[in-house]
Amino acid sequence: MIHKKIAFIGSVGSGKTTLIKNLSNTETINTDVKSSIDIGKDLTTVGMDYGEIRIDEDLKLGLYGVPGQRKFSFMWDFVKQGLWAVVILIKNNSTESIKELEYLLDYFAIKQDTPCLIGITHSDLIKGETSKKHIKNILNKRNLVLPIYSINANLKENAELIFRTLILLEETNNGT
Amino acid sequence: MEHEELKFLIGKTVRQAEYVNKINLSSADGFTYHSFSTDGQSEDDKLSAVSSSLTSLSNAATSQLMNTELISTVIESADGNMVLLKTRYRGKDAVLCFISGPQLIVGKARYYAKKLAEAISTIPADQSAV
Ligand SMILES: Nc1nc2c(ncn2[C@@H]2O[C@H](COP(=O)(O)OP(=O)(O)OP(=O)(O)O)[C@@H](O)[C@H]2O)c(=O)[nH]1
Ligand SMILES: [Mg+2]
Repeated sequence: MIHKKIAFIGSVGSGKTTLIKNLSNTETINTDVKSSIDIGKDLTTVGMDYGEIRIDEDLKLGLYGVPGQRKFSFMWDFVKQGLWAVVILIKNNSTESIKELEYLLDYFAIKQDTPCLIGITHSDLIKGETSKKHIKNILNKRNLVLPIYSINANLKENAELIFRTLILLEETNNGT
Repeated sequence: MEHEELKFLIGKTVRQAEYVNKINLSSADGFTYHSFSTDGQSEDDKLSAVSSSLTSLSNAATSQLMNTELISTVIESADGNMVLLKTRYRGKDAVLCFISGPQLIVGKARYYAKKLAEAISTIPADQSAV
């Protein structure tokens, strides 16, 4: 059995916990607690989300979600070890969330050969296409070309898209 | 003064337990309410964040994997022990972190930490900060 590790990173409220809950075949490990400051929602992750996707008999994907708050970056260090792929979530039209992208690309040392994709969440609620342009600019500065999708973290249907893309990226990077 | 009753309770524990290196109270999401340290130096905010993460993970392990309730998280090291306890402070979920030197056996550390956590949870919520 091969176990591949995928990290879900992104700013507070970008939808990491929600997406992992919707993608996982198993009940996820949840470490959300009540936020004591106003972050636009009640709960926030302080430990780690964990879920799994069984692709087939030989392949299992481990889904690791980190807290978005930077003060928990020691959890990022833990999740960073031995990663197969990274999913970066960005809240549509949120300057803060887009800004965090630069920090995360550096922190997780995302290179062109890292299987990595960007999901713009909340686009069902918040309209506007400008996020994509800003994200592309940030990637351009780093000579990165990464797939960018609009996704709804509340929908299960995104699972297929995300994993097929990551597997495809890996194959492309390996030249197969 | 802010957190006066809390400071008093911590001071009492420090005198009773001796060998205390650090006592830190933070919100469940890792913001420091008050931190006491014998060596004066502090990385309070980091300790608060780590306490919050560890407690949430212990909580997930007990409630979601062992089907029971978390009592405490104890970390033993060559230089002493760390006891983490969930408590309430002024009506809000909080985490108490108690770090003592190797002279204090782990059972005693747990005893003093628990006693303090219980006392903290009785501080009334309406004792508002100034
Ligand atoms: N409509 C809509 N709601 C979303 C979407 N993505 C996330 N949400 C909602 O936004 C909130 C995001 O919360 P989380 O999943 O906790 O975000 P997170 O990234 O885990 O945040 P932290 O753990 O605090 O860093 C939840 O209430 C979700 O239901 C989306 O694409 N569309
Ligand atoms: Mg989360």
